[in-house]
Amino acid sequence: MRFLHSARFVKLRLFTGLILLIGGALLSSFRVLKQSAPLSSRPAPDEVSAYEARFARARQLLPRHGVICYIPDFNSSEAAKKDFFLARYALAPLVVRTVPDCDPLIADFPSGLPPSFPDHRYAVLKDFGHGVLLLTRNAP
Amino acid sequence: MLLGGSLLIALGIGLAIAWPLRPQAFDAPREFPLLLFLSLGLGLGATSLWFFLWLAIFGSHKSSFIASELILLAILGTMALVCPRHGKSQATSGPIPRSRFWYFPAVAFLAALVVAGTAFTRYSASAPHGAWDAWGDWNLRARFLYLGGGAHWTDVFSPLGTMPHRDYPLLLSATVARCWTYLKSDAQSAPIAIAFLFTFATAGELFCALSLLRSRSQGLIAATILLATPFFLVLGSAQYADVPLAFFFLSTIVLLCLHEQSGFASRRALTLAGAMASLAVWTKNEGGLFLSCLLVSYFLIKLRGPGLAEYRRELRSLAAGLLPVLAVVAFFKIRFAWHTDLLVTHGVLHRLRGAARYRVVLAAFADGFLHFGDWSLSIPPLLLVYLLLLGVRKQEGRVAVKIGAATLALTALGYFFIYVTAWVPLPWLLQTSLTRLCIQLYPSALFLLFLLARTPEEALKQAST
Repeated sequence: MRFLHSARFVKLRLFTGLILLIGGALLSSFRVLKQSAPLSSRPAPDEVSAYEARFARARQLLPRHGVICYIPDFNSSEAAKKDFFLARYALAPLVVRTVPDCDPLIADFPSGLPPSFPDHRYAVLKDFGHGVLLLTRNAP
Repeated sequence: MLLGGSLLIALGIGLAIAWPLRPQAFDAPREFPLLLFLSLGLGLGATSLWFFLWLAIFGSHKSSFIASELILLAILGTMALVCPRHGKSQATSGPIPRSRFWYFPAVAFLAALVVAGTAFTRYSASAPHGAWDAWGDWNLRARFLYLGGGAHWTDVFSPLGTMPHRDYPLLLSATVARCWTYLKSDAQSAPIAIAFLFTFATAGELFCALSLLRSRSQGLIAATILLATPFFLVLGSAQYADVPLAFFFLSTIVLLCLHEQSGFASRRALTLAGAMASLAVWTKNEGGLFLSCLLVSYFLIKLRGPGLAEYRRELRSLAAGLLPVLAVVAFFKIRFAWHTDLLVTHGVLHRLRGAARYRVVLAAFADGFLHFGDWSLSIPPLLLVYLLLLGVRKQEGRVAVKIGAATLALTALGYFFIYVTAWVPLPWLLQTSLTRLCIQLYPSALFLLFLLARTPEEALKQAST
């Protein structure tokens, strides 16, 4: 019992506590250092910048402000959802609508145009390449 | 250069506001490093409010906005220098008590700091636009505020598009847009720098506050634990608003403790605490929950202790800091962001009665508690073991710690019931947000835990007696 209150045991408790806590924390630090990609190995440009670059030519032709419609349907898949969010960021401060009920429309197909596109509903005003097109709606 | 200038002006404005309101729990040179970290967040918050008001009143006249900030800095700086301090300071003076012991935690802290700085740089370089919510929300809104021009910045609230969370407060987005105004371009260096400052200022504030209130080694240990939390660094560099929110939560609780440490000589530190709590409301909607929990905890704990009269006096001082910011937030909500997707009351009672939802949320909270930091070795159990090994300092008569702990506990309880009653799919909501909510409370929880724990010096002193 006397040992529990001895100076040696108190010091032992202190150093055990510190080594456990700080050692455990620094283990995570070490892992972070190992897992984060060094600056030399990063892809250039990053995903968002690359996506933005696809819209660079389109932005020169589009109005600075206002509303623009977007196709394809952003709800069709998780990938389409992410593409839409990236396009919305790239085109800001334009307000991007997911419903194709206004002109002009921006078509965004990062993995290439589908075979049936554009169908009878749309006419292509300008093809900017990389799957980005400026469209207008045909009269029904 | 211009970015540095914009951040220095924000720091200057923050310091000019914080200086006359500083706690004076210690003499000025000792308090100054902590005051600098507090001023940084306060300044970024205050200038974001000014930027929003400027847009709302005058539109975006960019050069005159910069001139207005310089004038504001000159006025506030002059007032800070000439403004007399009321209340008798019970400042503790003299050198910081030192022991040979602090070298060991200092080495660990330096290692964690270097790794954190390196990791932050690497994360930011690989994703300069931040993670999904940064480019999908916070920086997107900043682009509307900056690129929208005089008449079109309000398009960010347009119901025509699919703008996310139109009711989210603007502190982070307005801060980014303000820096872009100085830079004259929407360069990614601005959101990266802001994310860096909030991340490392949170660690700096934790270190300084604990160094003042407990010991330097205690501050170093706590800051090491925070900086060695992988998800804290990931979230900080992701340019989300959760780390800035964590900064304001921590600042509020630190200032309450410093106010108590000052012997309640002046209630101005409470005004500063109120300002920090209200800036949390301006950062994210969760800030509103935190503020409500703070006021409830304050009322309940003060009522049991010093009584209603003392509570009223202190509430007046808190309100002096709260109200100016809350007035702007109310203007923002009423004028621009009245739409909210949070308050969907349909089916709430049904969800509250669903026992299965409680089980799912409880299980997620238990798992989140152990793993939110994405550590190699879970730190919360190690912290408990550390507390058991070193022991706890007696807290007789200390109410600030109780108020802080009760506020955090109530906020966590609030989060729990938000999950239980949420109308969106629960597994998705828990998966995408729980770890972020844990990080919001984490620096404050660390601060309170190390405030309670015996310092290594106290443990060694016990060993030598």
